[in-house]
Parts: sequence; structure tokens; C-alpha cells
Amino acid sequence: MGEVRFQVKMYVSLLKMTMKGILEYRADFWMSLVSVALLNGANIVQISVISWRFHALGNWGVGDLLTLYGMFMICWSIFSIFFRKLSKIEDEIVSGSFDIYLLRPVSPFLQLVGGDINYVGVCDTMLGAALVAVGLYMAEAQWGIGHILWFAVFILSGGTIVVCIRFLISCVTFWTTRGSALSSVFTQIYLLIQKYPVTIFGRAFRVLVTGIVPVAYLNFYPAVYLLGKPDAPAWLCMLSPVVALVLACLSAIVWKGGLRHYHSCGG
Amino acid sequence: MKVFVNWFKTEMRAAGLYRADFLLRLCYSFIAMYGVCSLWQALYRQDPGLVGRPLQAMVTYAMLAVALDIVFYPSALKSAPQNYIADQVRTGRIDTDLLRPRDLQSQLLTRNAAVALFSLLWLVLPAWLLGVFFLGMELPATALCAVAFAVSVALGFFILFSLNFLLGLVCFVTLDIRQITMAYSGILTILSGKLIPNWLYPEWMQAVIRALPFRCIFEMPLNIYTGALAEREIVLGICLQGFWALALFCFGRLAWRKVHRRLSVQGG
Amino acid sequence: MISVKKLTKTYRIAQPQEGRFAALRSLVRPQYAIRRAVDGIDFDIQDGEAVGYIGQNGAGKSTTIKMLSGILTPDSGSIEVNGLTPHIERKAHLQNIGVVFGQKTSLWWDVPVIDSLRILKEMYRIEDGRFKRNLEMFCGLLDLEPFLGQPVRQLSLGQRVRADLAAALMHDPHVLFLDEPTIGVDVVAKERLREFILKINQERKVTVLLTTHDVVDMEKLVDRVIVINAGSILYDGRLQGLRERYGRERRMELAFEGEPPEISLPGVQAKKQKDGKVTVTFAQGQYAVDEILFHIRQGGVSIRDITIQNADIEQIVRDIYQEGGKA
Repeated sequence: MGEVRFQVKMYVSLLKMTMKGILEYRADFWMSLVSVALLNGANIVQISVISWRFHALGNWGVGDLLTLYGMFMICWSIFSIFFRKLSKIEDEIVSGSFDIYLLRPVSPFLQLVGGDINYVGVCDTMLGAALVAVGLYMAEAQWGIGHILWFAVFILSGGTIVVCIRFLISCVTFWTTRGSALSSVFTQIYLLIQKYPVTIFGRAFRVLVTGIVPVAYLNFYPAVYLLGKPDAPAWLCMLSPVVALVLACLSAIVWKGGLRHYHSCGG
Repeated sequence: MKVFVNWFKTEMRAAGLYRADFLLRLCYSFIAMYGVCSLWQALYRQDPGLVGRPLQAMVTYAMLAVALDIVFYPSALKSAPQNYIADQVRTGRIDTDLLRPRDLQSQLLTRNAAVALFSLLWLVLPAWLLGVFFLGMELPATALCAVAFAVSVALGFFILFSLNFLLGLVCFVTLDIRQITMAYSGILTILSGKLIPNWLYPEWMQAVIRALPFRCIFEMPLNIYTGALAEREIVLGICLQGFWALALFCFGRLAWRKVHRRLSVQGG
Repeated sequence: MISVKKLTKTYRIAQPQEGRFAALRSLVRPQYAIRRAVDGIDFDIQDGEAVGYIGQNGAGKSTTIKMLSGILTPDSGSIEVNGLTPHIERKAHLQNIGVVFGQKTSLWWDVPVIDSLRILKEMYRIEDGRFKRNLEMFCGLLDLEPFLGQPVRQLSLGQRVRADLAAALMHDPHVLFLDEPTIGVDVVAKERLREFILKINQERKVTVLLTTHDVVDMEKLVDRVIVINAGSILYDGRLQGLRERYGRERRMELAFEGEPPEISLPGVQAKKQKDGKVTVTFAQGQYAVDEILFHIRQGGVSIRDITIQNADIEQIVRDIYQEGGKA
């Protein structure tokens, strides 16, 4: 237990230091907010235009679509604020920084993720939360205490799922140096699920994003549950924390294997 | 021309080394094409009248946009001018670019065009074939459309290049353009007709879009391909593209000259 | 005390494949070439020794250092550093060693040096008193004071290596591994680094193992060198012994009045320099210097100046590398 506390303390210290380094060249917070808004604006405009022209996408109205998109943004921001460095494992290995992590008596994983904090990502969280609020309001969703609790569970599980998937892709670089193209395939899948309900893509795709790369748990299933949509049974939505847990365990195993491989083969 | 061929060969060799990447990239395009295909089918099922085009034409439009995006995404090419300039400014190597005999703009254009042509043949063409064979994409409406499409795509690329180049020059003012690049991608996505065809926007937005060069990048070639434009409109459209291409290129040239002079005076 | 026995490390290198579907085949069933980076080496280093570990790039130096510091797991053979096996008892081992790579910093790039040192204090759980004592001492010896508050990216290379050395020693390790610590550093800064390393070695009795290409480093810092080539140890002993064993070649430089003559003695090589001088090289023991001079004077030329050199260490190391390269 003392060991765990030590590692957590080190992670916090590392984050503090990283923060200090980032503030050295301070990015303009407001400029970032504007660009986040514009970048997501493209998607929001699309959702609005579709809703305005067609009134809905299948049985998903504009409020539903905004909720869907907002949930995705919040989950994604968890990754982009705290775990962005995970997508840099390959660079760390090539530049030799990874060796340095292995020379210090602190978990290399924490040293890795402690090396970056993207406070601008909070803009994503805020915008996402705003969209969910507006979306739920427009969809006239009935909310009780249970829904609020489930909302928290969905966000935590979704965040875990995004992080784990990115982490697993990055871990591929322990064995081969070709990780980037794989991650762009995922980017493409994310682009589809972030603003459209999975139901429009047909059965095969739905199976893919539920069972194989469970990204539908970032926003689709949570939105279905919170909005009371008939697109999926409630129990399937409630599997969210289980899926997150399974992925987390898988990530831990793969990371261990990757480290072992690194120790035996070098960079 | 020789430089162009050389860049083309370099790109070809690199692609030869990363053939696994190629398959993944193709997979990536296929997913995106499948996505937009499903989207428009769903919307069509809902109300065919509202789309404003026959289903096949709309699906073709959307999927071709995705395929072209491989070349037309503002920072898709690692040598894209804004990325290159930003890099050079950040590392201080921009001085060496000032010393070269050929000017930066044409240098980057040659390189980018070579890389783009390569991506076009190596990635867009296979993606297009996938679309035609598996997702019901249509062939060009007429032979004339096909030729005009090719011209239009080339002009579209040229316009995008000039815009990117101008964006790169912003570096000299703000040093860091990552945020601006993000915003720029957003604007481009909304206004170029890549995600949603412009005719679906409200009237006032269509008016704004008509006045801007962005629609010349995606919408024009795609409309030509799908046969939405009559012959006269095609000629007019290509002329408009030509106008924007020339205007933006000259503007970029002037801006670069100004930056160049400033840099030479300051000594880098 | 470091003890290395029959240490072996091989790398598998994926071979590019030729022909049709090469990319696909290399994905499905890659072919590998086996390279023995370290091939059954043995050595012992006593506490407080300073040892130079030299060899060409790719000879296996870095691989050995990485195995000694626990980054790499050996294929076979054993390593013990202060009674611990690095790749097994990793955490305990890391408390015992300090590592500096001349080529890359282990400090945090964007924050002041002192902050890096403070976080290392937490990582290695260094008590306040010890941290303060060490900090004061290193500030004095390495003159860190002027740049403690500057971020690492603003430091000169010499300053950066000094900061790195301090960082590697904050937790009082018994063993210090230095991988080309002086590479690229200017002469004055190099001298300062050497003084410090010497002091650490002699006063604090820290065992030092350093790899370097710099002959002055070797001469000033170590009394023992281990020469490694293609994964095997070529020589392990005193630096002086290296000269005796490999420095079989002697050379002298002659300046003549007028045109230099042709020198044709079996086993003697003469090379004309641009400035008219002639460099004569011959094997030690084959001729006495006098014999050669006598031979030259027989031709009726007069010698204006003679410089006789023993092969220096640099030359010897170069020779060894070259011989190794041929083998």
C-alpha cells in the first residue's frame, strides 16, 4: 500500500513539474478555446444542418445527436488532458527517453503519462458538458438520481476505454515500429461514431464497435440509456464499466509483455 | 520538372518501404467511405425529396469527397507548406531556405504536387475502385465530366496549396500555428462542401460560401464528377477556380516577398 | 563490486525480403539475422576502481552498459552488481547505480535544473539532510550555482552534462556508469568534468565504468581499460600495458637539407609529408634507430632534424579498431 501511495505521489509531482514546464511557453488559452470551438464547430454545424434539413437522423433528433457528440467529447478529453503522451511511446523509444524511465525507481508508465498534461483539453470537457446539457434539455430527457449516477459511471468507463484503446495501439510499437497507420484507422472509426448513432451503419459495424473495439461505449450506449432510446437494451448499455475493466486488464497485460520484450530486445 | 520527378520517386520509395501502412490507409478510407454511404442512405430512407439529388449521385459525391480528402486534407501531406514552414521557423532553419536559389513557394509547390500526385495514384485511385466495386459509387457522368473533373481537381489542389502556404506565413507573426491550423481545418471542413454539400445549408450561408474560395477545393470537382453541372456551368466553375488559384497564388507570392524582405533586413 | 560472467546478448534483426509479396511475407513470417552484440564476456571490477570501456561504435559497449544498468536482459551469463542481479532485482539495483548518457539528458527539458534534482530526491527517497549536503557539494565541485534556476534546454552542453552528473549522484550510488560523458564538450569543460569524476572516484570511492573515445579521458581517469570489439574482449588490463602490448610500432619524423632521399629498407615505411618532412615507421625491435639513420646517411644526404615518437594511445586504439575491423 505504501508503494502505491509513493507511486501516486510521484505521479502528482511529475504532473506538477510538467505543468511548470508547459507554462514556460504558455499557449494562449483563449485562442485555444476558440480553435477547439471552431474545430468542433464543424461537427456541430453538420449536426445542426442535418437536423434542420431532415428534422432528425433516423429516430435521433437534434437534442439526441448533441448529447451523443457531447458524451464523446467529454470521454475523449479525459484522454487528451492526461494521457496524450501515450501516443508518443514510439518517439520515446526512438529518442532513448524510454531508457531513462527504466533507470529510475518509479513506474515507467507513470513517468510516461506524467510527462504531459494538456490543460487546454479542459476546453473540450467544458464544451462537451455544455453540449450534453443542451442536448438533454432539447431532447426533454427525464432525469433522476439514477441517471446522474450512471452518467458518472459512463464518463469514467468511457474515458478508460479511450485511454486503453490508444494505449493498446501504442503498445504495438514495442513489437513493430508501425503504429501510426493503425491509429489513423481508429481515428476514422471515431469520426463515424462521434456524431452519428451507430444504428445507421448496419449490423456488422455495430458488432465491430460493440464487441471488438468497443468504442460505442464512449457515447452511443450511454446516450441510448440516458435518453431512453429503443436502439439497444438497457443491460447492454450497463455493461459499460465491465467493458472498461476488461480493457484495463488487457492493457496491463500487454504493457507488461511490452516491457518484457523491450528489456530483451531493446529499442 | 526534374525536381518534381525526383520528389515523386522519393515518395514512391518511401511507400515501397511502408507497404503495410498502405493497406491500413486503404482500410481507413474504406471505413470512411462506408460511413458516409450509410449516413446518406439513412437520410434518404427518411425523406428522399430533401436530399436534393438522386441517392446514387449523393452517395458518390460523399464517398468521392472522402477519397479526395486523402490528398486534400490541409495537413495530410507531411510536406504540406504550413507544416514545413512552421517546422523551419521553430528550429531556426528557415535561414537556409532564404539562401536557396529557387524561391520557397515554387519549391514547396513542386514537392507538394509530386507527393499529391503520388497519393492520388497510390491511395485515392484504389479507394475509388473500392467505392465503385463494393459501395455502389457511380462512374463520371460523361467523358467530358471525367476530363473536366481531372482539371478541376488539379485546380482545387492548387488553391488548397496556396491557402496552406498563406497559413504557413502566419508563423512569422505568431510563431506557433497549431491552434490556428486546427481552426483552419474546421473552417475548411464546414465551407468546402466536404462533409455536407453546400446546397443543404440555409440560404444566407450558401451566399457566404459562394463568395469564398473554399468551395472550389471540394464542391466544384465533385459536382462536375456527379454530373450536377451543365456544360456551361462546368466552364464557368473552372474559370472561377482558375481565378481563385491565380489570385491566391499571387497573394502568397506578395506576402512571402514581404516576409522575405523583413527576414533579410533583420538578418533572420 | 561488479562481476560479469559469460555475458551474451544477441539481437534479432528483421531482414528485408525481396521479391513478390515481400511486404506481406515479412509481416507473416519475418526473417531474422542474428547479431551477437555481446559474445561471452567476463570481467570483474573491484569497489572503487575506475575502468575505461572502449571500443568502436557498435562493438557492444552500450549493450553492456544497458545490461549492467538493468535496461536489457542478458541472453545468458550472469551479472552481479553489489550482489544484485540488475534485471531481476531492478528496483534495489537502481538505488545503487547512477547513469549518465553524454548524448541525452535524463533531466526534464523545460524546467529549471533544481526542480529536476528535487523530483529525483522524491523518486530516490533521499532524506532532506543528505540532499542538502550533496547539493552543496556538487554545486561547489561542478559550479552548478549559476544555472540551477535555468531550464535545461537553455544550458550549454557542458553545463548540461554537469547537471546530469549531479543528478546521477544525488542518491549516493556506489557505481557510476558513464556513457561517453565528454562527447562534444569543449576542452575547458571537459577538464572540469574529468576533475569531478576523478574526485568522486577517489574521495567518495564510487566505482566508475566509463565508455569514451577520448584518449585523454582514459589517461586521466582510469588505470584499467577493457577493450571490446565485435562483442568480445580484446584486452583487459592497465592502460600502460596496452601501450606495451599493442604499441609495437615506432615512428620518427625526419627533416632534410635539400631533396629527401628514397629509403628502401625491408620493413620500413617512409611517407613524404607536404612540408618536405618524411615520416618513417618501423616495428619496434626490428631495427635500432641508429641503423636506419646510418642507412639514410649512406646516401649522402644530411638530416636537419629528427623527432622520434612512441605510438600514442590514440594511435594504438585506432590500430586495434582497424585490426578488429578486419577480423
